[in-house]
Amino acid sequence: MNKSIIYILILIIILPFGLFIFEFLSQDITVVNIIKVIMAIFFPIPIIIFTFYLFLNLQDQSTVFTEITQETPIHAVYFLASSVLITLSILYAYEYLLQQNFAKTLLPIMLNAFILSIYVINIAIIKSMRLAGLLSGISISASLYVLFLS
Amino acid sequence: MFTNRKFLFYLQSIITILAMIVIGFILAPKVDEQLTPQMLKVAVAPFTSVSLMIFLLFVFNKVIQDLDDKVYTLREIAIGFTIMLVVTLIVVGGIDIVLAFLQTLDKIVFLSSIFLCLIIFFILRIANLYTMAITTGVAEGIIIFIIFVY
Repeated sequence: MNKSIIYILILIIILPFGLFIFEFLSQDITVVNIIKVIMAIFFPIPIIIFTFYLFLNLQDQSTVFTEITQETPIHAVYFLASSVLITLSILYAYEYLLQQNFAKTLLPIMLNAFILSIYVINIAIIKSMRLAGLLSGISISASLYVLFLS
Repeated sequence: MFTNRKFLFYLQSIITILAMIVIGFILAPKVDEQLTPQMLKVAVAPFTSVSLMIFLLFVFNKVIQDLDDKVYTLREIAIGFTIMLVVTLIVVGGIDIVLAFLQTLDKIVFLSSIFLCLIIFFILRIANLYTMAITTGVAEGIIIFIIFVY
């Protein structure tokens, strides 16, 4: 994969953070809420460091990653479209079953931070196109839901 | 930078100590401006666990450092992830139960200093896959406690 394209993708994924933080802080701006938002952004960083620690030098002698190098961009597009549909339906079901406004909770911030961290792992270790399509599909559908549909 | 296991271990322990400082600031009740015997207790509280740590450092003479660049097997990776998850669950549930009994500032300082001394002991004596998993679990548990429970 081209590396500059990946960095632009990560920049685009960072932008929804502003939307989600605005949606959460619009109910009540207190010190505790700001600390909670900061903690929700930094939540996946220990997991990321641990996975870097575990999977160090794995790509040198692994047999798992030989299949991934043979994939084409069409697979990534399929994964993106299907993940958009599936996550939109899951979010509708979540709001219908739990009667809770998805945009007013901390869940979208945590989801976006987690997706960003898996993206970094994908660039460094896995280097798979399908996983990139799936992750960006989840991020796109979460921001679409918060913007238009909630 | 991220291909060095020793650097990753030290970074993880620094992040855990920072998370502990944040939760200490959050959980501390309002302190009076006048000097009371309660505040003198707070100054003495960390020394109990510091003495415990010095005793442990005295007993454990040898230094174990398994931070080479070797590739872990699948079994070791699975054990590390399960240790991380179990420690996270214990910390999230345990802080909630313990705080019901201990509500004054000196006891909270005592509790957090025990975790701090545990991590310093790991840095100085046992630097391993399993201690790395325990450190990650403590950091994740504290962050999840701040986000969801508090």
